[in-house]
Amino acid sequence: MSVQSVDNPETEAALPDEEPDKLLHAAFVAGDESAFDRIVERHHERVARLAYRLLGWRGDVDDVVQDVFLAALKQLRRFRGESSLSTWLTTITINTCRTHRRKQLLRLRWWTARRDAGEPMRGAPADPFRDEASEEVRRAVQALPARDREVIVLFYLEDKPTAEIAKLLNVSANAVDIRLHRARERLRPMLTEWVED
Amino acid sequence: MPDESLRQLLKRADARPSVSDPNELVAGVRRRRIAQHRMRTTATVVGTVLAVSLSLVLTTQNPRKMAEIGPIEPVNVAQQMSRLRVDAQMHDLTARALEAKARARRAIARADAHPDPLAELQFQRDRAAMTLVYEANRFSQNAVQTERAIAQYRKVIELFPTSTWADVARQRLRDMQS
Repeated sequence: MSVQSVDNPETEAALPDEEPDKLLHAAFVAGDESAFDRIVERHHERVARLAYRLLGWRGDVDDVVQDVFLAALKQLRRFRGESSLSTWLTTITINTCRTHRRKQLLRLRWWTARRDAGEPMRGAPADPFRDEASEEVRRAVQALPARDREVIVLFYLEDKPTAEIAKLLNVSANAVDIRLHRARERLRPMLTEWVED
Repeated sequence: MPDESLRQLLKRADARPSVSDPNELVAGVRRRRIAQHRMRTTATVVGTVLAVSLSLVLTTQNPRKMAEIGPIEPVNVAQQMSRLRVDAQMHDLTARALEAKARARRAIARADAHPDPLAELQFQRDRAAMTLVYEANRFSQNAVQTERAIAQYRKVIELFPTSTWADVARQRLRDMQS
């Protein structure tokens, strides 16, 4: 497993999705600090998107994404490769978002949250009906308790199976099913107008 | 509410965050790491300074205790040195005794690791005889294979006449013939 093979884009393209991560991790452990840059490059968009969804499409996710990669940088040498790097980063993202929310509550920054909630979305759709519906759906998901929002995001938007969500959240698959059911029940009255029966 | 409709609705409502340049992100992460490291170092230094200051303040506030200790007499130092020398010799002897014991234990373990070849051969022969008797027992339980069982018992007697399994085979043959 050589460091050189990572730097060769042809080799990287030929490898399956997880292989470059393994090589990058090995390179980092071997002392190649630039491997971390490549890991960030590969995963930052996915991490940012997940954090944005978990925080209810509110605020600036840059801080959270930096926290995620800072935690990853600190722990990367101890990462044992029992799961894929992508799954590991997903777990860190979930935990970082929880910490971020807790910090926001502790700092009593409710006014910031309200201001951020009012910020227009980048790349908003042109269709007014769709725009209104999307806004309503986002508001409904934002209104969910954080734990319910996590399962909704991971199941419906990240398309993760229940078993994987259970692993990521460190709960049983049964608990995930219960949270999903509860979240759907909470969303139902808010979204009846937009969902076809 | 159908599951697929909800999925579609959520996917349509999903928005993308503004993602910063990965190079900037890495630079930010490294800056934060350095800042955290500096903060930790500063906290350690401040903590140490505070602890030292506090201990200084406490000792200067109570000078009587310092005075009580008094100067160290040269005679006491000499006595203490000889006591320490005796202690060191004792420790040295104990260490040597423990080392010798460990060496003896290792030697015994090495000897145990190489069993007597004759005993090993005997063990293997016994095991082979036992396997044959076990098979013969299985044959003897089947009326069709009685002849085969008898042949197998005889083989045990022939090949391992002095083993205990040969006695077992003889007994079984007697039982079968009676």
